[in-house]
Amino acid sequence: MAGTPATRSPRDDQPGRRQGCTLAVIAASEVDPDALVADVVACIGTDPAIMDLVPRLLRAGHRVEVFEDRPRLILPDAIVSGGPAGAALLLADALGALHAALARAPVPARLRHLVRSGSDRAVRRAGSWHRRRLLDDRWLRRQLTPTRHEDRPALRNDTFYRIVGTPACPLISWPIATLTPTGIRTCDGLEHRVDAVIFPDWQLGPGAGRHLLAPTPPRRRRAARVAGSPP
Amino acid sequence: MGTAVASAGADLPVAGADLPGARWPRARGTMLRVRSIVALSFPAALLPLPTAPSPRLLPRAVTTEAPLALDLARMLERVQERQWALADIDWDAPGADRITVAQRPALASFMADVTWIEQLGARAFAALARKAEDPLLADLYRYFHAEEQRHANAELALMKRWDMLEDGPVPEPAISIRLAMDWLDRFADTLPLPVLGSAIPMLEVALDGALLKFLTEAVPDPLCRSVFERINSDESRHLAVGFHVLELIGRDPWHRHARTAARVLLSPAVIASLPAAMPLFSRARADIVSMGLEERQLAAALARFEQAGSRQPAIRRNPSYLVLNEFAKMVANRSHPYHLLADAVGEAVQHWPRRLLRRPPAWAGELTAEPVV
Repeated sequence: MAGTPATRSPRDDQPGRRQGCTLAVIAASEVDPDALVADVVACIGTDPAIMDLVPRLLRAGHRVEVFEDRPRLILPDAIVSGGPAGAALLLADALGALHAALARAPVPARLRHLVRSGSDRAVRRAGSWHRRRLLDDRWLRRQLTPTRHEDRPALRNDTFYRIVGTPACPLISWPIATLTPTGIRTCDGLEHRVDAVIFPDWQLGPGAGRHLLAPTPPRRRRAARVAGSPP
Repeated sequence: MGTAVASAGADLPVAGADLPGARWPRARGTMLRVRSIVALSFPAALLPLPTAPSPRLLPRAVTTEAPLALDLARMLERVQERQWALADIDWDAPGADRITVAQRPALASFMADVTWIEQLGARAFAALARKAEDPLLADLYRYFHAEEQRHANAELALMKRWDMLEDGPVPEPAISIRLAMDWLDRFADTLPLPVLGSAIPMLEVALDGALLKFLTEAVPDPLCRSVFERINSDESRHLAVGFHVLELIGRDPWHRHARTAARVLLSPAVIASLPAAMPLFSRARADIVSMGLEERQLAAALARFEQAGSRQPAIRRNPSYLVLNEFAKMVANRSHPYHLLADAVGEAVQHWPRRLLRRPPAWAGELTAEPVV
């Protein structure tokens, strides 16, 4: 599948297309938003490539549904324009630099730990203020708040929060149950009809689209849930 | 009684003090003082009286209790494997016309309430998913949150099938449900895990053991039976995890229970819960009794909650469980004086001006009867 040109038609030679399926499964790096023929596009997860792609898909006139059940920490793109979140980020950076400097200094481990935890807290606070600044709806903000178990590195992005949750780009925060030939089934019992599903590259290796759409034994439906770990 | 419990506790041997990691001797004086205060406030939290050496007095790391029975990883796999969707069900199958005209008004009101109550449950699971320290448990709660939403969607689809959605795509929630919705939206994320983790199994036993089983028998539509069998199957898994968590919470050291109790009592959520919870339970109870469910069936369903505590003594160490267990018994018993207050509050709430309510939270708008969106 790698190297396949971006989709030309929703009916035939899209990557990941299986006979009888109307759904294309595509890796983010393979998508050309202007060439993609699809009304509704599902983007899975929060990944730098996906976050860059979503605004481009919207500009190209597609309706984008973002499926994100494990929110990730997103920080302001720039410290200057970030408002209070930018200030918190600046503090976090300063504490991070201090921690790095203390690593070689003869200081008590407790002090190093305090500086480190202060830096972490400042980063989380920056993320919280960033969400508060860009997301008006309380429930949406909660849905995009990382859990205590979230350990992926934070991302820097302003655009994603500005567009997610709008009618053109709804956020689907339910866990995905399975992919069907016509869309995505979430665990709230609904099927979301989409024309194309875009996964981050690390989740979708060459040929993985066909694997995802292959029939799975009833007891092992979980195989359709994309597994893997972020780079 | 409280003092007696405290002094009995003070005479106990210091079990496990010589084991690695045990910090009991240093903290003994302070802990006994705190224990006395707790005993005066929550004597039941300290029952049953321990016999030496008591696992309750040991630090968590050296507890001698038996391992927990439920394998959360296996349960998560099972939950993931047994997902179903509204699109799996033929909503136009014959049988919708078997609902009689006499059944229709009460059933419409009841189904609307059940639908909204499922969604309130979904919101509570969403809060639990944030509270759980174990990532597996947090994952399970994420799925349960979605599953409760699925139940609400399926029940709404049943209402649509029976032509009960006359005022729009979604029925208007009763005022008591709107108040509960506001309360949950405001306080659910601030409530400690032991409180939510005890309340959910209590509601699940009532829902699973009485309401859903009753609906399956009382409604003559075969599709209703099929839908509620799926829902019941999900609820039984929720209940299994709920009881597991109750046991887990019960094994916490007693000072953690005391801290939780203090947090809850000092929280405005407790006072604010009265106008939200009392009318909600009264209305739900009145609805099902008017539909024909016998009180003894409701009491029998809620007795499962009490039996959980009898089977696992650890569960009875959780003050939230004990309080909710007593509350459940009061709700089930119509002759209890509690109902004088509950009826008065319920009556007052009926006159609550809707314009004083906050705007419905965004999560309340996720309800839909359409299998495909």
